Amino acid sequence: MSHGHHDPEENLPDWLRALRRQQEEQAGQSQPAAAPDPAEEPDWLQEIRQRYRPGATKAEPQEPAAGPSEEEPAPALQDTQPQLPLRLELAEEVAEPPEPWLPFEAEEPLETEPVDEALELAEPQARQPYGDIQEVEPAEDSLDLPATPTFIDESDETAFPSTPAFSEDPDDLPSEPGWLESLRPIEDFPHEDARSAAMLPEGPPQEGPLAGLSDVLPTSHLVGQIGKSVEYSTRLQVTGSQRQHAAVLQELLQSEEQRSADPVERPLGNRLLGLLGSLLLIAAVLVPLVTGSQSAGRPDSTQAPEVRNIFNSIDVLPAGAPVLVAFDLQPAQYGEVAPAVSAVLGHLLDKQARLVLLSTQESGPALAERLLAEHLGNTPLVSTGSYLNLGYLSGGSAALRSLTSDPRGVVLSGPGRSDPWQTPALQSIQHLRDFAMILVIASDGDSVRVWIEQAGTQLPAGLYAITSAQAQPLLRTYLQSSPPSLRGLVSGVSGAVIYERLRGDVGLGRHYWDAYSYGLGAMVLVILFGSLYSRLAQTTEPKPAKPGAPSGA
Amino acid sequence: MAPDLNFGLVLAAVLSLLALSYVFGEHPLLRVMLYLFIGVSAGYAAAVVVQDVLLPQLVFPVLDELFGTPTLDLGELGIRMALALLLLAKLFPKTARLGNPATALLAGVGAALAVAGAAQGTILPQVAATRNIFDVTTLQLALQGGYYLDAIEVIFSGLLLVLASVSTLAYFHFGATSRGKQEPQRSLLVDSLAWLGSFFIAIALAALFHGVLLAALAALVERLDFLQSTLRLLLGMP
Amino acid sequence: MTRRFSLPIAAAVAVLGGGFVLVSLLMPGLEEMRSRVLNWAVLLAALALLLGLANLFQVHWQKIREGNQRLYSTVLLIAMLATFGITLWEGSRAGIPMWIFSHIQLPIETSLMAGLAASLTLAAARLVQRRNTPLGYTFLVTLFILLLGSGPLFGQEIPFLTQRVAPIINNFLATGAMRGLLIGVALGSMLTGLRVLIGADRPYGG
Repeated sequence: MSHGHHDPEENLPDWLRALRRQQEEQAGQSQPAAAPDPAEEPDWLQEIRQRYRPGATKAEPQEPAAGPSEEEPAPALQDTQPQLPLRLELAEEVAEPPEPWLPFEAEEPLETEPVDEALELAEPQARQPYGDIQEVEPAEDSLDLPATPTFIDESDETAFPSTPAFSEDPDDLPSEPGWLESLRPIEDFPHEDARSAAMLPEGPPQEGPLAGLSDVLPTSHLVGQIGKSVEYSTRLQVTGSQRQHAAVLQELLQSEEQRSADPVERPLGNRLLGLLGSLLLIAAVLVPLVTGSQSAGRPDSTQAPEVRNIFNSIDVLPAGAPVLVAFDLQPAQYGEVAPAVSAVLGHLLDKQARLVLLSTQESGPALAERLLAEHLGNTPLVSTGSYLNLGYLSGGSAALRSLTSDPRGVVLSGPGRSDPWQTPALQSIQHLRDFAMILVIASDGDSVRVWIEQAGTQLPAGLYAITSAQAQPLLRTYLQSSPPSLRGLVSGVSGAVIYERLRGDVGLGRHYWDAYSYGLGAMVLVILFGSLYSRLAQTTEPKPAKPGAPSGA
Repeated sequence: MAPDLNFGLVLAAVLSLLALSYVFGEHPLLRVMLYLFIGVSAGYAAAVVVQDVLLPQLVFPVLDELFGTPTLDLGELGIRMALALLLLAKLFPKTARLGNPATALLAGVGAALAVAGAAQGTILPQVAATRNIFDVTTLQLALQGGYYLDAIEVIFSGLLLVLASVSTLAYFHFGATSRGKQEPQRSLLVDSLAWLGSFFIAIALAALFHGVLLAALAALVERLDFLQSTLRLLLGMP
Repeated sequence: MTRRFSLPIAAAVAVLGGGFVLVSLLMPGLEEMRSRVLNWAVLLAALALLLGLANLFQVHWQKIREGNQRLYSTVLLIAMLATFGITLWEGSRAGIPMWIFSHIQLPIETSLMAGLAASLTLAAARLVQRRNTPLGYTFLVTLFILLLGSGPLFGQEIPFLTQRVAPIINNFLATGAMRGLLIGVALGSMLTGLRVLIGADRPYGG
């Protein structure tokens, strides 16, 4: 750490100066724990102590600097040294380790390992330089926040230099047997650094998908402030980047706590914007619902060929064709997807398709039952229970891959331990491709993506999907892939409205369409005026007194 | 309408109002409701898992083996039992490490499926789509028919798609060249493409956000429709 | 010592199990064995979910014992146990469990999603205050155009936006970028998966 000719005290912020004064006062009042009386120690221990005393030549980890060494910082800088983790000092001191401080309330206790094991695994060089540095008492009233946990403090690289891959100190080398020494080629070793790039401190990243690869951007460029990995010997099994992330999280939590401790009232305009915006949105949606307005024009299928594809495919299905409906829907999107699902399933039931329901979400089977009962209960096939609900299938991609090749192996029993494979809908099914159509009803694009990746390539008839509007941007790439992984898609309320129009039907989509249209208008207005207000508020906001001081907004 | 149904409707309406009230701020009732929700959904999910997976895949075969006609061979049943017991060892800190092989199997199988799925289901079709991005048939027809503006549009839209895909990929290109002691750096071309790609990514994120907004709006429409129809029902209005 | 002993076993299971599944997807004739291995994974996934729920139970039970947020944790545990017991006894698609699902879980979850409409709209409106950069403006302008082109606003459609501009953004700009993102994500998934398969990454406790 080079400061040139500047006095580091000059650059210290006020709060750090105050902290330093306070620590000096405390140091004057309470002496640090007295060192053990040398007379009480056995000779061999005194000898070891003398040998590893700072400044002793043999244990010197680095060349002694001209100025104050890192092991013995100058008094003026002593309290700017990193606070060292006491847990690392001696195994017997931590034989019964205290509860680790956690930056957040962990749902599951972090996995710990016995301290002696951790110390055993740690490189001796990593522990040695800190063995006899005094603990600095933190100032009690410097911050109201909990002290930074030790494992975060350790991230300071000056405190924990990288452990070299091998020791360069000849004294640290174990003595070699004579026969081995005679084999050593004395002058043949090159004098330049023979370590590979992987062994050098700036070598390839050690974590993430790019770990071990050379000639890649440093990780710090990719994810902000991830520093180079450092060797640690703490009790917690956390990696360097986890430590850094924890530090960032700690910082975030601190800023949140500071905010709540010092409640800065949001500007009245912002609160008013929030209140008015919410009320406008609710009113805009509610009015058409209450009045039963149905004036907004419906989009047609020319704007959505993917909706027409699904309609055409269902329209040519023969009566009694088995159709697998994967109900991978979350309850949160039930309200949005219900109009599209009821329109498409209504079409399937009109064509007298045999529906087989299955879900990779726990709540999927219940949602399927509710939707059929609520919106399609009058259909003969539903009212007579002529569909099969196979329930929930756990395992995500493993379940889908297994279902693709061996559906009878993965679905062993139906409701009430019955054999579902004896029912008319499933008698002819040996593979997933035997279904006339597979329709995935999903909340998000990822659920459909998993279906496409695990099952889609095995299905000559392809996949069809009904999804929430939020899945559309992702799924459009699969609609346009070559060959198309997804043959048809109905998404959101607009998809439902288009489908209803194709069928010449007036359903739930039409019922919602005006409210949806007015809600869209309200959203546009709120975003437009909100952005203008925000921009205006930003330009008229008084500049902060100091550069870098947090703004009130 | 049956009284219990009315009670259910009123309960659902009250819970809906409570949940919607978080837009205007948090309050203790909202927290109680959220904990109730977590409890109900966790309990329901656990029961579904037991009923739909655990019983047919593990418990019934064991019972069949012991008391009825075996449905699975003994070796298969033994492996399932062993894996289940190993994973259950994770429940207790002292035996947690015994469960590592079971979780390792899960991770290994998941990794294999991810590799195969990503290659077969995403990379190959998407790369092929990027390769075939120019609609050659339409282009030929447009040129033959003298619709030159349409032909230009086909070419332009194809170029736009390629540029968006390539520049977005360039943004995530981490390959770099080391020059002596300097940090590895990307080439100027990749850097420029990556800069352009950041704008395309902003557009893609806007499209995703737009989708989420529409989904939330549709949910709002459905909930307000439910609330107003429940209120009408309670007030006896048509 | 236990740790050093157990690690290779777990890694070997991951490498062998995953490697076999990968090979079986490329080579015909191994379907039956693959099906078995996949079904083991299906069972393990279900058990893992149950373990997670058991952990949730344990955490809140501990909170009640410690007197930490006792009311909330009590509500959660009672709801969890009652729903679990009734659903298991009656069957998940029977009367009372469906009533609980339809009148408690479903309205709450749908309403929370509905509330997002207001929250996200306001977040978008305040974006200028928080992200005053060219990329932030690109995001906001694109979002605004897409909203205008989503359908009729207050019952009135703007055909130029709904039929020309929004489809160009959706079908070309956003789709092209999404394709790039998707290929990048897929490559990342493959790399991560391969690292697990060769034992370089051990997310299973190694």
